[in-house]
Amino acid sequence: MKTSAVNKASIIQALRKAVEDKKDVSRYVRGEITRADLERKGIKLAKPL
Amino acid sequence: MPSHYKFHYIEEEIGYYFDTDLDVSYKVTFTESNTLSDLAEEGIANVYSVNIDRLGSDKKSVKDLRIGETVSYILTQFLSDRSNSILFVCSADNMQAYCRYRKFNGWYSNSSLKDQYIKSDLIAKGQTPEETYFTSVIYHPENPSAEAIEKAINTTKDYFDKDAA
Repeated sequence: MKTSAVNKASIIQALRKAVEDKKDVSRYVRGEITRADLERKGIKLAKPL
Repeated sequence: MPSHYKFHYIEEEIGYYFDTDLDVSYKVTFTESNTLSDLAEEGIANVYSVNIDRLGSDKKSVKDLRIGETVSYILTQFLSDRSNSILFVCSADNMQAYCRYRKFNGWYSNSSLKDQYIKSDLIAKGQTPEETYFTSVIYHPENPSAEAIEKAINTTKDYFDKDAA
């Protein structure tokens, strides 16, 4: 039987990470960190179209 | 309905820029996101988190319907590839999360996005009132991952609805 690893704590952790990543992208947009810094954190900018 | 501002894409910076009539600049950026895959415990491809950043202006915010129209237009372009879905997570800092969530919902509701795309919302509360995450996912009904996205959101909602009941 498959046991779910997802629970409230893991959900909050995933959302917390999403928000942290978003803050890092904002820092990149403001020129405070580089694209290489983003990539080191595993954040990949996506080509829109 | 107001027309959107003219925007342009800067290849080197991988993002869209536009300026408002009041000379306030915005940048719209997309990043690859694994958040839904983490929630679903299965891979959901082509999910992108969107950032909407106001750049270097200390001017007071004024209500400008064309900003929302422009963001919605950019999102529509992005979602024209039906395999793409967009994740919007509101930062929980400065207690502004709900305001940002409402603003994003307003942009969606006043745009043609609502006629073509599904928006699923999730409100997840952490251990403190400050740690509340307001999340929306927008996707096309014919997105190949539509079922998995819906399942991920609904399953996640169940965890938090139990407490609210």
